[in-house]
Amino acid sequence: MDSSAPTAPPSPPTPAPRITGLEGAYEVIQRLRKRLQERVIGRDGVIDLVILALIADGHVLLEDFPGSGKTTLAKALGEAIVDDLPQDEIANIRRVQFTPDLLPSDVTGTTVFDPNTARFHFRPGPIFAHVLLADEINRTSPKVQSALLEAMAEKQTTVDNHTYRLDDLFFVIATQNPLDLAGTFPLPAAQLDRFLFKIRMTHISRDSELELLNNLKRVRTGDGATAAPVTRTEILDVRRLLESSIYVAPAVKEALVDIAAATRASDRVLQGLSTRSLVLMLPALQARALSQRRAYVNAEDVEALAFYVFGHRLELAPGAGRSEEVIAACCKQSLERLAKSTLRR
Amino acid sequence: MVHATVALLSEHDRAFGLETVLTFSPVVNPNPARFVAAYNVRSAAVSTPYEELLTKPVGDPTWTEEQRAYYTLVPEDPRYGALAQEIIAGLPPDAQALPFAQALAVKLWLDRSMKYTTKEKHHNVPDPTADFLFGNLTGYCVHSAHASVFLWRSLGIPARVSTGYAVQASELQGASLVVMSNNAHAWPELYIEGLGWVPLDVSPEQVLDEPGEPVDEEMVELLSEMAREKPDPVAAERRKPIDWAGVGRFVLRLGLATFGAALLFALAAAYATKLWRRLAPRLASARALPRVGYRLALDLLAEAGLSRREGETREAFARRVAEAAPSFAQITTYHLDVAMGDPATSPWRSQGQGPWREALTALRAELGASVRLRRRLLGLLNPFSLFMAR
Repeated sequence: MDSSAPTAPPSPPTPAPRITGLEGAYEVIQRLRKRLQERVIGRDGVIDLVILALIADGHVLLEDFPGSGKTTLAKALGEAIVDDLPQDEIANIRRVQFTPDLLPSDVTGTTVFDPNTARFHFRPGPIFAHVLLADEINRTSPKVQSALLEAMAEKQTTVDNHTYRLDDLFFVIATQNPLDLAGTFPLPAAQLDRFLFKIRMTHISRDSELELLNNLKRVRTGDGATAAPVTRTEILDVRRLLESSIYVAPAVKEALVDIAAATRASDRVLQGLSTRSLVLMLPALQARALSQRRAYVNAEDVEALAFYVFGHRLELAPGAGRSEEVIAACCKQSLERLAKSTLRR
Repeated sequence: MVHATVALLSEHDRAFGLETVLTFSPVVNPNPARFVAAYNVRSAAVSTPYEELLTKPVGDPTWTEEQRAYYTLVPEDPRYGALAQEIIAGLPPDAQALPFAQALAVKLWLDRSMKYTTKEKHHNVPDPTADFLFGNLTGYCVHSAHASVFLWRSLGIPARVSTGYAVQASELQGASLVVMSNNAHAWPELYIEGLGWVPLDVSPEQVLDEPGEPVDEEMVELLSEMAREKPDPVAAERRKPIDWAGVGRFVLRLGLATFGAALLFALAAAYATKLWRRLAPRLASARALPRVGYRLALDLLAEAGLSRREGETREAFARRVAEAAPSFAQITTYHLDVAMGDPATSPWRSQGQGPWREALTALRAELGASVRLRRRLLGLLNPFSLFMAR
């Protein structure tokens, strides 16, 4: 297990004004985005999705190869969120390298006996953090995977019959290598369902790679970063705002239901979308709308996020082709209906 | 000139009439249950007295040599000529050269000489006419007709055998008569200049056969009544064979007319709708403006050949046409803010007419600058461009 503390000490907490309006929320997202873009080069798309998941209170699963910048991204995210409640002793970022011999207590924490006081103390595991990077999550046994499951779904963990609350911000970035599958425990559908997005990363562009090599020092240390970080409270405020302020038109909900029905009816799909996937889709859509400075969800949001939210929740029939195509085909009609609905009285 | 109506009791290959038929014309079947078909006949009958015929020449000066030879052809048997000469020798000297007198003499000779019977058929001989004429002179109409014709022809008179039906004048009931298959008859005709073919039939004085059953008078009356009945138009209509080609033409014409009318109506409706959609933003309430204003923008773009693709989002469409019409993005935003935004915040209240009018004017100007005039005029004339405005 490898747990790394933030390299730079968090800047002193400033009593930031609470976020109340959409403009403020949008500003927070922009700030976070800018900050991450400075640290992680050529991954703007992934950064946006990770921010959306963070705002929508979901978790992300990155499918990529080693050395693609996922740790950098997770660390940058952890560092970009300043803990303005330092007294709670919750780390900004923790990383767990999942291995076959990992035990659940290595993740959740364990009770240890203190001979001085002759009492058991709970020593929190890496799960008690704002951002948890779960590296190569499919390399560990289902036992550990399911320990993480409770934490991800309910933001709590139970050790020795005692349930501990995790931080409200708790956000998991898990990774898995899509090719190197020998000796892995593939995540079951129920576990996959805990992740709001599954993002398949591709190699960054040539220019981005070159820029990275040219600015290696600055990128590594974060020196010279111009964008200010965001605070934990700001993120939680934005999350609250999302639910109350971003409007989802009935036609959009109808489109979502129609898309689910289309996947269930399609003969290219063995198991269509669950109702829960639609429930999870809503905050993601709202987050995207907010990140576009919009007070309502539109068809573009659905189009943009459908693959990331639904892709890993569909079980395709053998020979059905790529899930992108299947989802696009299932969405097309509903999106067309959604577009037409705006001209209706 | 004779007019008659023929009502056929059974199918008959060829139409027939009285004497020399000039024209046939169909009439409605008076009783389809009884008759197969009915028609009117107009025929010519010889009204010249026989005395005047005596002096008339035979044949027709307009005939070709071939035609004349055809109608005076006789078998290569000298007995015909000899017999004919023998017969006309009995004529008074001043009549011996008159063709009609010669023909009449032959007829009268046959009247006296032949014995009528249908039992003697002169079968299985090379020339049945010769067998009859130079044999027992016993036979029926076919034999006497051929004998007359050959005797006449050997005297140089153009002649032919006609076939048809002959009914005794005594069987005429009022103006009706019934023709039956046993009325079939053959008779000789000779050609008289100016009159055409004139029948001059042999009527044998000696008849060997028993007289046939007389025709039932009541039946003749009944049938003639039926034939004179006013046709039942409904029954006639039902009976009339369906003219499929006519029905086809009618259906085609009806279809074309309906199609044309529908097309005209559709055109009118399309132009009316176009006009209405163009004017609607001026008349629309603030609440409806985001819809009708956007619709007008879509119409303008469609006329310029720009329309949203199937499955394309409104925003993506706005981005696609941004080069030709940058204002459309703003219009799209106005529209979607209202269409998909929270109705509780009612963004339409704050927008009002002003920005819409400005944006639409800008859009018109941009399209005017970026799209060729010809294209826009075509779009304006295209009545169905509104279907492209999705």
